[in-house]
Amino acid sequence: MSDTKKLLVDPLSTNNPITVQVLGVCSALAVTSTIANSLVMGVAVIFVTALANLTISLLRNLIPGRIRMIVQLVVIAFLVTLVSIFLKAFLYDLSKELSVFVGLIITNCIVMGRLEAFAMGNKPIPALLDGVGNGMGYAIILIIVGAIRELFGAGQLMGFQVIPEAVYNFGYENNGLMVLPISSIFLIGIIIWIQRSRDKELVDIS
Amino acid sequence: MSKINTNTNGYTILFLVLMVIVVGGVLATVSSLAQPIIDKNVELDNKSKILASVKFEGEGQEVLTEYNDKIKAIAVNSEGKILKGVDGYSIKLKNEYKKPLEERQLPVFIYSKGKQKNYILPLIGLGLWDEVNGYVAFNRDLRTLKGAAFDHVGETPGLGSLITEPKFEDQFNDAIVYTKEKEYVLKVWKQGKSPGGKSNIDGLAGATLTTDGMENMLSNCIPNYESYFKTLKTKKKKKTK
Repeated sequence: MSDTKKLLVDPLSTNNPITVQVLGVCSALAVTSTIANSLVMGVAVIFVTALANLTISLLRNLIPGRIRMIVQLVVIAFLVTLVSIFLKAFLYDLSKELSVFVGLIITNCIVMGRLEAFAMGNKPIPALLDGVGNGMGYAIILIIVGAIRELFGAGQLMGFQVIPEAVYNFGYENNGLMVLPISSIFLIGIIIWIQRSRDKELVDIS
Repeated sequence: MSKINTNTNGYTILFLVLMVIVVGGVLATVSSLAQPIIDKNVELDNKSKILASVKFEGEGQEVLTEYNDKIKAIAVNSEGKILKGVDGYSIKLKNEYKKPLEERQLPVFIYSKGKQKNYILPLIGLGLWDEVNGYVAFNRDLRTLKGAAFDHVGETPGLGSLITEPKFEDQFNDAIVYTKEKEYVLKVWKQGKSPGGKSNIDGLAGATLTTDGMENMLSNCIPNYESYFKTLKTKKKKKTK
């Protein structure tokens, strides 16, 4: 039991795909301008990592070694295309908002990284959990960054104005830097810094 | 289970072929099942954008009814002549703008509601990553706008994608496009550089190239309709005489 729990919980903190494995950073920079974007991207990645891990793990003894990367990519692309069609059919507005980034999950290193590092050598259930865990670890960082950027960049959370008008009247202004993807580099950097200063074990890993 | 030798060429090729058939088959089926729903979404989205430029707010079926009742889609050429038998809605703007100006079929959506009449012009241009498009609704005077609605294919979420937000679009409400001397004066400025006033639109922070794309789109598309506007005005004058 503790092993399965570890698979789910470790990627949230001590083995976080973004802050510790440093995978999937590019999309974390780009789509985190609001919490809503982060959330949907997070859910989509959880779905893809979980099912890709499961599929590859089920096929792991059948996949020819020489073309395993191609097979992994096809499985990922297949799942991402399904997500994309689903969004277009049932959440049309959101699919427009996320536009190219859904397609870019295919190139998200987290998915490929977990397939190579975990799913190819483990049984289906642990692989599924590992996928869910890593997807969640990714989503958590996205949501934290998205919340900070939306709060300071637009004064809103989930689209609701939280910084009252009165504060603006005192001369407070939204931080223009937070609107730009560059701010996520700083924010993720700060998150990594805080995490490593609290957990010394992480310092030597990378 | 006996171990299969997965390293032979024959096995590798067989695996690939099977994989392609399975993946291709499933995706093709799902895609063709979802296509009618997606098409409906696209139609609804287009029509609500057209109506958004005249500040109609509604959802789903309301949009389709309002569109059917109040909008007439026609097409004109660059000399201002109405093209008979052409449905403005079915024109693919992207293809028209590839042709030389004289050959283009330019759609116009005429919205009539009681005494109110608006001429809605579709726009198309390039943003940072991909196509940007939109609609501007001219008032009866053919100089000022009732409003505008924009859309994009792939602008950066949270930056360029903000062209669809009221904060940007509302600047076009009552905007002056042509002066009384018929000079085109509408301009989208880089964020913070706008001198203000009814013809100057403030661009978006962190999305300079999308902002430039908007400026180019407006100044490329709107003037194509000048001859049509002229014919409309002369018609009006004749009527009043």
